[in-house]
Amino acid sequence: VYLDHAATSWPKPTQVIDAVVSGMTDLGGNPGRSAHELAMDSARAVHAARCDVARLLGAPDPRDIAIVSGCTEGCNLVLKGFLGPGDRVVVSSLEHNSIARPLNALSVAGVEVIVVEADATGAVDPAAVAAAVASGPTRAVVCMHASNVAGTIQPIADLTRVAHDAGAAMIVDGAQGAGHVAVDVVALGVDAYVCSGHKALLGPEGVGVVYLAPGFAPREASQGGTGDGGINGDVHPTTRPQRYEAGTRNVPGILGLGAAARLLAEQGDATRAEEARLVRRLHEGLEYAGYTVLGPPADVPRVPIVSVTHPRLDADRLANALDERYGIATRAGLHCAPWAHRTLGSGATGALRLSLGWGSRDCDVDAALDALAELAR
Amino acid sequence: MSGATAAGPPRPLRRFVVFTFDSAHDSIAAERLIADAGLSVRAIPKPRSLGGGCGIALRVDPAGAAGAEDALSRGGVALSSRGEIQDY
Repeated sequence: VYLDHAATSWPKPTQVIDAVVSGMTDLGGNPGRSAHELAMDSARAVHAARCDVARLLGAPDPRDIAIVSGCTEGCNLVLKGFLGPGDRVVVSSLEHNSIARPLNALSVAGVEVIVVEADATGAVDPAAVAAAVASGPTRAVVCMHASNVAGTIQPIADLTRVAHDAGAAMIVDGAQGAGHVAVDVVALGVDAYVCSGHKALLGPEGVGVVYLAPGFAPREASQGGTGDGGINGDVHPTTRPQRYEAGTRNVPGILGLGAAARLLAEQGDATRAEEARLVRRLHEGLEYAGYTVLGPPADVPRVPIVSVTHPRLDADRLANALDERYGIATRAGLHCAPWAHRTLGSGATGALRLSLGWGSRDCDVDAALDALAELAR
Repeated sequence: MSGATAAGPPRPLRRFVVFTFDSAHDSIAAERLIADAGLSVRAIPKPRSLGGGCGIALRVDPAGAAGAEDALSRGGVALSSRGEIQDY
């Protein structure tokens, strides 16, 4: 029983696996580098995948979609490419280390980091963010789309309005958003939306997505070969997406991501409805069994993540028992999000996280509830 | 080298119109737009006569060049340069 989708989704859809294999067998050339048919086939396939990802996220121009190695690399690209000494950034207290650690590094370099506390359910209040950005010139507001601990979905469109009213950019870590939540980057109005390819987007590991709104142009993280440029072409291009894609890309991974995007375009709404039903069952069942569920109450929409604590049982013992005795995969600890656990009151204990996803079934929820009820007796 | 091959004598050179673009992404997008317009197009290495270096150019028949440019304009893909080459 796999209940660790928030770490990485599994199993991967057959279409994704087939696309990855095709990228290593049917295709072989380096996309965008040579003009022979093998390379052109790779380039066409990467282009198609980029267009599919853009459509899934509501990005009108696929050139605004850069494919990177993952969400962490994408967050670093945006934060370190946009913020510099003397800048001020407002960030939620729910953030994962993929935001918190780059911001800590930037604070050492002279960026002022203002952390806005979320409430006990993990909700970020736009009014609190408005107060924070009003207290000093702010370059950016940073917030995750959904909490990887509590599952709380943040009001990104409202936060974007707050940011833009103050002249700040809106940067979103969508690692647990895209896929679990229908994303339209234009409707959200964000300047940057970064997401993982291998979580709810159902792609393979090793790919992540950075959407950069037109006109929002952080510095590139790397310079290098892009397949363009003449004899005087030793200056890295500013054209998109090449600017953010120096070096050969992960072609099999990108093709897998493209296949996943097409699948989610067809099945995303149904998958999300099923996830919502299952996570509510899981939430209510865990409370009934005596566990304390972090985050919003059961009747508030969340991504399919439920983290729990128990007054007598440590999360690590529970996770190990679930794995060893019941064959149920979950994750214990702080989930690379110490800020979030401090906010949610579980900083000292950590929590047991159960996360659902594509392919999760009632019998998976039943198995977890039965096992955890037995362990709590 | 005689220029002849096992397949027969070399084909005569023909005139083609060549488009270049700012990025490989635009080259691929342009190839799709031109093909979708029902026109013949072939990706070629960027010719030395058009600046050379890295990059993918698109080669079209002169008769279809205007239609191809129209398709690119409608599709929002900008040309970097337009030239002509003699090719097989």
